[in-house]
Amino acid sequence: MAETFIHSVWLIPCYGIVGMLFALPWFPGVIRRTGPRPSGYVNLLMTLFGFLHSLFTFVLVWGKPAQTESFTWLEAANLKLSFGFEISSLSVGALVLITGLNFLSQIFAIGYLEMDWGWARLFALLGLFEAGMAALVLCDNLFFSYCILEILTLGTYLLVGFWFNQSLVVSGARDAFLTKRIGDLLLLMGVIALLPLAGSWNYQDLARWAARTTIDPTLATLLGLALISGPIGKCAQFPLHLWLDEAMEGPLPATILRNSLVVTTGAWVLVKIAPILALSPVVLGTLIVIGSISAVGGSLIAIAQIDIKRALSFLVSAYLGLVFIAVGIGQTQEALLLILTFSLSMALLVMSVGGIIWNCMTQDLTQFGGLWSRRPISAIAFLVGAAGLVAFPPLGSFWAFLQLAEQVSPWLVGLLLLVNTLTAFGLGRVFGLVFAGATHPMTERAPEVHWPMMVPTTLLAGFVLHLPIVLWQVQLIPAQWIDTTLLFAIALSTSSIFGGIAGFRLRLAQLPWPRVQEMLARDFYTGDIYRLSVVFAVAQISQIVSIVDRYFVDGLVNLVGYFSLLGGESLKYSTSGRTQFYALTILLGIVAMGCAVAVHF
Amino acid sequence: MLSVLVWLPIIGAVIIGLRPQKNQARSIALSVSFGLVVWSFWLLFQFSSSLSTMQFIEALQWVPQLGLNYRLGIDGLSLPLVVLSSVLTWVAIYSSKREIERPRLYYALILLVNAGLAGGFLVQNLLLFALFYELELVPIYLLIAIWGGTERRGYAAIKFLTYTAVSGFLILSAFLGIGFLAGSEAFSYNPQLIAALPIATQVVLLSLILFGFGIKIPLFPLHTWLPDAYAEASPPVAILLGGVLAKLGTYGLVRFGLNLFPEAWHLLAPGLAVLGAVSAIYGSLVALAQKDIKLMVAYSSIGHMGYILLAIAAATPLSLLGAVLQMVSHGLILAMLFYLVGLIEAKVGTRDLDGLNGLMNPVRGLPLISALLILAGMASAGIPGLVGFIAEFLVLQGSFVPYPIPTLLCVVCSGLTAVYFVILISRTCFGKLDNATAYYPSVLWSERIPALLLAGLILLFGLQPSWLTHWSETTTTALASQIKIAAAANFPGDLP
Amino acid sequence: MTVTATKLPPSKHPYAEVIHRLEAGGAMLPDTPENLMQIIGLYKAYAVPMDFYWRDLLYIAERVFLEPLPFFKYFLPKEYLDLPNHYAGDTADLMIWRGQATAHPELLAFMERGETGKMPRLFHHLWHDRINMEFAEMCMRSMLWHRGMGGRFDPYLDSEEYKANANRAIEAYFRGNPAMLSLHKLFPEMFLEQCRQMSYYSNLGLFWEVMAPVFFEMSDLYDEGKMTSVPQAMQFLVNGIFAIAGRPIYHHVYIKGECFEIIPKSKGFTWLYEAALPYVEAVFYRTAPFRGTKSYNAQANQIPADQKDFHYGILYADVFPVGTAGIPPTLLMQDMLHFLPPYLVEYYSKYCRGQEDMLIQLGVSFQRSMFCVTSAVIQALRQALLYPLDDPNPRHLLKNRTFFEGQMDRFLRPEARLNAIQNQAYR
Repeated sequence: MAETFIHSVWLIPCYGIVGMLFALPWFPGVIRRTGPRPSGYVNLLMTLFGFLHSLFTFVLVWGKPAQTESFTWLEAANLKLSFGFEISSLSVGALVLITGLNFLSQIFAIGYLEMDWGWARLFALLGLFEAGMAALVLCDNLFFSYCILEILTLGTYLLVGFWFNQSLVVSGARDAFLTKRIGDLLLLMGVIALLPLAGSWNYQDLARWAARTTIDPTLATLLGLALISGPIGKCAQFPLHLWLDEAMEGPLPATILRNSLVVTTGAWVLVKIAPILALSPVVLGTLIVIGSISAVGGSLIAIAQIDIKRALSFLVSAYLGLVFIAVGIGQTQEALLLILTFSLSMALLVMSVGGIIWNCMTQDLTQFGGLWSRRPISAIAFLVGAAGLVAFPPLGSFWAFLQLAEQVSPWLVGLLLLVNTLTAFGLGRVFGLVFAGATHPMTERAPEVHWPMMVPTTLLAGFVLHLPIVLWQVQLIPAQWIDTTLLFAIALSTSSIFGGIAGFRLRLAQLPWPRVQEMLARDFYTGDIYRLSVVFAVAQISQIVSIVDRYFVDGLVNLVGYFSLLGGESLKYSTSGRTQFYALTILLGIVAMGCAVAVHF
Repeated sequence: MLSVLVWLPIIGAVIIGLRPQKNQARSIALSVSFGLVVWSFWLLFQFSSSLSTMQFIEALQWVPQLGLNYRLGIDGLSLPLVVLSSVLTWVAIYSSKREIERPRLYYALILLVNAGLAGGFLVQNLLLFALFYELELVPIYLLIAIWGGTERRGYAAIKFLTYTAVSGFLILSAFLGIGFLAGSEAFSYNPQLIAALPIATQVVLLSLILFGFGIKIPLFPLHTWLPDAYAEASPPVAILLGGVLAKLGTYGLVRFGLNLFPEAWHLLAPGLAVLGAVSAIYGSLVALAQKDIKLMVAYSSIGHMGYILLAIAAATPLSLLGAVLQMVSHGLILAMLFYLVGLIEAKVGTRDLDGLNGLMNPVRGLPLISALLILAGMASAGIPGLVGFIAEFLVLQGSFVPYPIPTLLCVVCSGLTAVYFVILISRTCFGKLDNATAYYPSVLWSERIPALLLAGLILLFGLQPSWLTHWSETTTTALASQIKIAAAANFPGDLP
Repeated sequence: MTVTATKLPPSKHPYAEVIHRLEAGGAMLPDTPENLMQIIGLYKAYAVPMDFYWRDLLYIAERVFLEPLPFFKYFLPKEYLDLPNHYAGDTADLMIWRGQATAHPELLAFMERGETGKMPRLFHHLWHDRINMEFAEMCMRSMLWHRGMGGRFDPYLDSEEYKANANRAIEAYFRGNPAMLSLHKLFPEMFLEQCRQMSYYSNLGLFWEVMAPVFFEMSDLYDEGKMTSVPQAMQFLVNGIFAIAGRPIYHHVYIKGECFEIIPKSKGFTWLYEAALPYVEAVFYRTAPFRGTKSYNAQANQIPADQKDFHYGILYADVFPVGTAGIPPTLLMQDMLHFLPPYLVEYYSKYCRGQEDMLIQLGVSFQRSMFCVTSAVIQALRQALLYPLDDPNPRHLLKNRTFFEGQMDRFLRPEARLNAIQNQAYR
């Protein structure tokens, strides 16, 4: 029985796909007389199956060594592609997280989108994301990981494009797809280049290969840089971070999943390929630099956002920047722990904010205020999420930060403290602006929303609160403290509390320095820079090439044709000329054949 | 057995031509082409995929003095293309307008094109190939000139004719040259005789063939007939043109370039690889600048043909297999794109990117067509799970070791493909319908069938590519080893 | 042709034609038989689900009340299906409209069989073969959220008297539930805010209780051939508004058999000023931007900062995206789809895509019919506050004109559909 459960773990990604297929009848034109809700219920049910299945499996595989299974997908020429599963407590634990969070966000979606007629599309895509992420954590092969990342890129395009009537949604979906695709294709270059070198894409094989290879350092650097590009795009890291901002145009229930889990798929792959990245110090350095820029930049930008969803979304870039740093210094365990605590807290924050956006009809932080007394559940959920996100003992991220701080050089400790303070400041600011102060017309009548949104929020808040117990039971919390630990613990807690209180007390809707505010609010002008550089350049080059094609290449080839065919061009416009020209070609052919015969005989 | 594929459409064309009832033309053409689909699938399952040699050979002496033999055969290279050609001909006939003008001529011509294509893929004689190659040219010319789109169709048709006639002429001269220099036995496909020729002669002959097929495929800079012809041709003809006719060029490149001149090929290959990458990037860039969605699709074709050239240049077992896969996948995807674009034009009345908007609207738009357009565009852009990806991937992986830089350039091209398809999709499918103009007629289920069929194939082979690689693997591996041996014999320093 | 044309010079307003029509006693909607058929057909199709809406809104306001997990709030008990309408049937307070007091037979038939056939109610619900209450709730939330639309109902919700009444009901409701009671102790404002929302449930329910029989009556008159023009239909609505204007608006809650009068009838809140006018303002004009067509991004500034500038109601909405994701009125359109009279189905089958895009065609008709209702409200306001249309005094007529022009100014926004509905080809 137990073995059956473990060996049928491959079913877990399938639940999502099955749910997706069940949603198909509610796509337009098939079922018209009744509404699309059943598609949502079916997907919810399938996700529940997936969650229960992974939960049982998790209990069964806990503490046991990893098992692998694989089947051949394609065997062609000298290439053999086998899809392999790694069934370990880590991968199955990740499955529990994925299916669990998806379950909660689907319930949330039932409430948030209760008036939406696009359920089939939404739930089918949520099912696709669940399936994709579940397959990704089980997958033990870089090639298939790449494939899944690409499919999820397409999924992001479709999910952000959910409300496709709206103009910003259209551009947001487009930019999300293209930005991620740039990263994915660089990753593909790395994937292609890796095979002739390592002879396999299996992660274990790759690790073994990386341990004994002596490849050229330049090659290793180029390879590593290509490989980290995919995660840079996925994790919304500098310089490919802009898409996450624009993706906030998508529906909020999808944002829950995206901000907490989808972005971390890149980090997961990064952890898996860490041994290859370690071949080149330049690559590791790049990871740390990119991570630091994203962490500091993201948490700074978040402070200046007046849009509540964006004030949270830039924190995603910031936290995944920390994950990048962790991988860059070789601490993959800490990276995974941070991903866990981050994703739960971030999902909770987005849920809490989602309920408020839903019936306050605004996302503008300057239009909120005074909700504490009437919406205490949302407020408490937000506080729990915020405390779980920053280093606030004894909640989750505190332990991740603490373990990270013990491993890094002093200046990185400084960076951690800075990012933590800024994040706490930003969250304190959001909390203050939304829940404290005087009411605004938009918040004068704001009852707590209905149960499909409140229940998942409350459940998740409860889980975030209990996460330290889980961490302690699975021994992810350090048993003994070394000398510096206490120091770090105090520094981290102080920075969180200080940042949070400062943010709350100041409650700045806008920074007092207009230039800085403008620069941060516009994301260091990254969008404009891209528009004026890459986008402009590609558009111009393609225009020029197109003109060259139409007037120069065509003309030149026609000219050559003109001389060689004795005026074939002039025949183009006369009707009778066509027939003559035909005769000419066919005649030429026959003459040539005749000549051949004549020469021979 | 194979003759059926060549003669049945010709007989069908003759019957259509002879019978006076105009309204029967369509059903006769449909049943003939359906018969061909069934027949080619039957062949598929009779085919022994473990053999690398020709199968089902039929041979007849015709004009022995000329070395002109009627000799048909099929191997792993031509088999998928023959099946593709049958399927796409059916799609083309099915998707033709029901109340088309001069139906008897129209359907007869399409069947003739099919006969020419099947003959081209099947014949094992150089002169006969040249004959078939010229044979499909005339009907296509007429199909564009008579049933084409705008007033530019005459120009487009004559341009197509001029270019392709030159292409045919170059190929014919190369073949005659082969016969002249290596003896008329060489006409019946005899690489050994050609290998005996001096390498310089081989290079000259191969260049003629390259130019000839380069026009047909088309490759940069010989492609300028393509935008006019593809844009002016009616959707069914564009499906045939882009879906299968271009494959006659890539097929010829492998069969008569790589296979007949392995040594000369080895010499020219680096240049061809670069040309392939340039073609890919060039086509994508031009596609990016287009405002007409049909032209966008047309230029995307140049980009994808670049991959095939790169793969054939690399000539590794994997890349050649990738090339065959890419031919099939490109045929399916391009046919689907042209079909959908044609349908959108028929319903909305424009192909202009600025005039299209909001087609995803589930009630008043073309929701299923939009969804399929997204699928086809993403397949073309190489999203995994769809057949375009696996073909592209095999090409890239196979070509990376011999030609890393052109391969990486092709990956860039894949990115550009994504850019213009996303622009196309975002502009046409996303957005809001215009209240003043958006009273489009609805799409009938019968109009959806071809697109659904192609979508099914694209998805099926994307998820289960071994059903596609299975048929060609032995042949392409044999081809690759052949060129490896030839190269090793003549240029021992080049290969590891 | 018109009385006023001789007394006043033509208006220079961009909607001069519409204003002249209003001055002549017409509606904003041109008087054509096609328009009449569309609006009456839609009133009928609207009235049937509305019969469900008002009953369920009252059920939620009076019985479900603060239930934290109201899984079955859309499952109307028989008691509420049989709840006699105060303005229809033999027991009516005011007998102007015919029709029965209990739920409409077409509604009952739909609840029984739906589109899919006879099934237990739970399956109908899960298969989404049901009346979409969610949109009715959204209309209620619109009225709650938009403030400052006149009337004393909204300010009353903040009074000490209301708070005391509500607190009594809340404490009674959670008696025996220490968790909820302590939550109430801790955050006294939380359930109070919920209770305010419940009061609006009651408000809207009582508003629609009147509208349903009015619309049924209009449909019956049309079927009998007694209603033959758009102005006649509008005048019928104006008369109805005046007949019913004084109907009390209240909020009673029944907890364990005991009735708690949170807003007693004795407060004297009346239908026209506390329900009808706020409803028209909040739902027809303002509502909230649809997430499917407008970005809520604060930096994009697509949504005005002031609630007064909201203009996303049916009079402004683009109907073409109906049926797409993110367009809440789709729910209402879908509800009406089930109850279209046969003549409209036949009519729609002749145009555009026939049955396939009936959802949008009926949406456009609905827009036309709501312009007619809005016309009635404008005329009623004119009648209540200003002068008769045939007033001999030109100065009075000028006042009327200024009033009409002021109303038409609200449709000067580019997205207003007033121009579109003048044209029969807009469908």
